[in-house]
Amino acid sequence: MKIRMKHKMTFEEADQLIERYYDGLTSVEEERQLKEFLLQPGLPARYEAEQAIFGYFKPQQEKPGFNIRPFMRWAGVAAILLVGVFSIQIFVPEVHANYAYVDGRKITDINEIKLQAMATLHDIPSGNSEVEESINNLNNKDIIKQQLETFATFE
Amino acid sequence: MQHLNKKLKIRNMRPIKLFFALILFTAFSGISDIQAQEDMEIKKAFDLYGEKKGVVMVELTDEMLDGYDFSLFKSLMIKDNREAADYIRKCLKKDEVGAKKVKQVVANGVPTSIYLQLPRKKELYRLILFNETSNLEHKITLIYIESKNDSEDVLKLILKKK
Repeated sequence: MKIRMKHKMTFEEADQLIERYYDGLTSVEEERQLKEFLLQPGLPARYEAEQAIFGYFKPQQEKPGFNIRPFMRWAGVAAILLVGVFSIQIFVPEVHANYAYVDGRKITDINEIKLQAMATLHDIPSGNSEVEESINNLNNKDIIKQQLETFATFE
Repeated sequence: MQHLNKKLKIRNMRPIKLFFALILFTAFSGISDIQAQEDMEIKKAFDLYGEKKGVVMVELTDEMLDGYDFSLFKSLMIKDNREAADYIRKCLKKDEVGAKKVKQVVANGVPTSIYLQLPRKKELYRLILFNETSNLEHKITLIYIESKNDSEDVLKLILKKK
């Protein structure tokens, strides 16, 4: 088992390595060490150019401002709930109870409800009965007599 | 780097797209629901007069009614209320717009008997019957029927059974 002790590079050593890097004299291992050194945060500003070369980016401070993402999540939840409610309304068949109201009094007895329903159906006149009624009115002698009597006062 | 940006964009877009899709679906559901209610103006008459004095209101669902096979039967019988008759006539005038067939008996320029055959709602035929009589007493009868049987057949059956 190999135990590798980590050596922390000083600024002087790093400067020397950078110089060797620009001259093209560094080995792979030296470049790895240099990269390790440059990728650590909090280095003096003079290393910025080399940090850029080795792909180090300063963590950008988050701009304080309105973030819509948490609200979107809640809005999504609200929309899902709404969709659920509407879906139930649409896809679940309407449940009607059987009832009747007579003078504002609720009736739930099915036989009485049916009786009321039949009574209502009976009130619908058939086409023939309408015609018959009109003919009966035309043949009603009493009406004609009454109408003629109104002219009798002119005598 | 570009790949990372793309990934971030997609991750940000996904909830937005989902949100709008849900909103659209919700709106569509709402619209269809509103339309279903709007095409029945006489529902207002049932709501307005159903529980008042001198009124008989009946609602029967999926019940066999002396040989009639109705999915929904709603009726309103109102005595001595000419205002209600005028109100129902106004409602029927609006329902007439979408009706497939209209039959009327007019007395003194006022429709006293109305039969409306409404467009089908899913697999159900719908019809409205209205009658106003003033012979012995003033009486209004309003019936709304939903049935799997053809509206014409339902009407024939009602008239035949009388």
